[in-house]
Amino acid sequence: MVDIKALVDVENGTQSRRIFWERDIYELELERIFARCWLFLTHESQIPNYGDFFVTKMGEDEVVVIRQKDGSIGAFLNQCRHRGMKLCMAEAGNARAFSCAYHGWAYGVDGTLKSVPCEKESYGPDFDKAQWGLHPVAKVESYKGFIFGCMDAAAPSLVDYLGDAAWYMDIWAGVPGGIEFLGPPSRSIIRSNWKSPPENFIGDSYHVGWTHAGVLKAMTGEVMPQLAFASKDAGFQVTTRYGHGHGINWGPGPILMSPNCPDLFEWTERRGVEMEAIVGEKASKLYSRHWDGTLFPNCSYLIGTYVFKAWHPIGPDKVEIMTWAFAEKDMSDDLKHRIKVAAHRVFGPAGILESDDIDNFEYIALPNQGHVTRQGKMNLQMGMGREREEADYPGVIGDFLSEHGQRGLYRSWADCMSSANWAELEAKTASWKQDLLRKKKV
Amino acid sequence: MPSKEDPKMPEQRPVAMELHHEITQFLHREARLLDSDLLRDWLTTMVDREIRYQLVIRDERYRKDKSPDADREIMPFDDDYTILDLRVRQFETGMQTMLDPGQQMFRVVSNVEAFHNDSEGEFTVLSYGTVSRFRRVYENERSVYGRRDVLRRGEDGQLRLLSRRVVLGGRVVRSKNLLFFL
Repeated sequence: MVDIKALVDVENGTQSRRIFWERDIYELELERIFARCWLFLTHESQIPNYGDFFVTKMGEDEVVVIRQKDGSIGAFLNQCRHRGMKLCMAEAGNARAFSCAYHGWAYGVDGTLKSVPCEKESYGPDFDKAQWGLHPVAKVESYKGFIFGCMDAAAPSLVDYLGDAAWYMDIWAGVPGGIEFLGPPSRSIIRSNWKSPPENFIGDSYHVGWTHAGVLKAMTGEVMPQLAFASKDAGFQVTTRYGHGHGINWGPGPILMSPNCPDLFEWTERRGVEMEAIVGEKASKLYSRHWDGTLFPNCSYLIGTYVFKAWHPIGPDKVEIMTWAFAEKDMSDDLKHRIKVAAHRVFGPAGILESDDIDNFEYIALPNQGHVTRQGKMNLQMGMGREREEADYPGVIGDFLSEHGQRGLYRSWADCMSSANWAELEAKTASWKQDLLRKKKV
Repeated sequence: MPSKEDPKMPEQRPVAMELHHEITQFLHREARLLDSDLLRDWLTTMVDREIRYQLVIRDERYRKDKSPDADREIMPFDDDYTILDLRVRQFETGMQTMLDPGQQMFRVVSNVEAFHNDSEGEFTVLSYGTVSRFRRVYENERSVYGRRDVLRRGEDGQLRLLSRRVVLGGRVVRSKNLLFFL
């Protein structure tokens, strides 16, 4: 049995390197994290019409997400129930039926088995097609247009799973008219463990002035000191019950989009004022700022840079990255197009910032081939003891230049991995906030 | 050329042998400058100020899907001269930890066809290429691509790249990143 306490020391902010390499730990992650938590599937704007579908992953299980006739959304394992062959070979499109390439069993968009070639002649009159529909994803819900699926019927609702993170999501995703994803995702496979990218996106402000020093100098003409984020005015980080977290920097949101989309500064300032009536004054002040964030376990976003990502594990040492650009539906087509180009330019496969990060993610994983290396532990102690509550902001707050969000991600990892089911996980995390604040050094 | 636009080039006039040679030498020189990290030389001597430089990846759908290309394409590059200049400046800072130690790249250009455009002194050039990148002792990656370029002869008599549309082979990028010019 995997000893979770020996792998992630929540009290001390350290993690064993084994969680970035070992197969038995990874298999338990697939079971206790990916087959249990709510996972991002796609955005409603990617499948607006009846029969529109998008194929994605939940852990290593491939699923097809389909808009139903009544406007609801269904999701099913992407495999024929006859001999188990992969069913839908396209990654997106529109269909009224899905036929298996092997023998031709055909399914409706609602997952029911509609037709079996030579059914009467070969199977006889008693064959019950109702027993052989597609395997449905246990729960599918959407929040502000973001569709999530969950393989565990005992899970809490999506909004309960988001918890305090929903308040923050309302600020950028709850805009009038809503959010729209722009085109298909870019996709790449890197040689990293799946946890490294979401860990980085949840709050690693520390790396920005170092890893990205070159590109920031090229863009702004100046070298940004790492110390810039140490100021109390730099922003703050948030962690929540199930490990979702953000870093919100008080700097202007669209800074990385400035070469092509200078008009975004005006857009966000104006929209920020409009948001006051919708989310309140305190929350609306966050709208036009730059955020990084991760929803546990494996989707991340950059607000202000208009990038949304899903990180799909492929074994313990590979990750498939899906990257979408997004915009607000109310924006002009011209601005949407420029955002699409600019977002992929910074965080797509040829991204002038992304490329710096990928090399780091890969070389965090690869050294773990070494037996002795793997016995070592890693450090996320920056800013420990400064956890606090703030009246204006839900969740537990930490400094912007800290590893507060990252610690939250591994706290949630340990909670999931050490719980046999949702009941245990909910009981274990019921007093998460008090537990976290109690740790505060005097 | 894996592009739906006019794959047979029926109405185009192929260039004569001497011009074809000049164009091929242009493509070879580009590969040499880029492989040698002479990015500024490439940009200032071979790229037209009015450049549109695109690298396109298309999603995979059933043949019957008639969605417009604009809804199906991702452009990891869709750059004008100022953005290409920004990318070159990123390399010139010397601050990219990713590029230290340096990497070796080898671009191989092939299947070159060239045609006269309607505008005098402009040529449409099709080519295939592979690029291999070796780095960090063990890394060895290769990308395969097709290109559709327009070259324009400037007032100084030199050819320059006016537009380039690179279609990358494969839906999923498997080579860590595409932080290089093709």
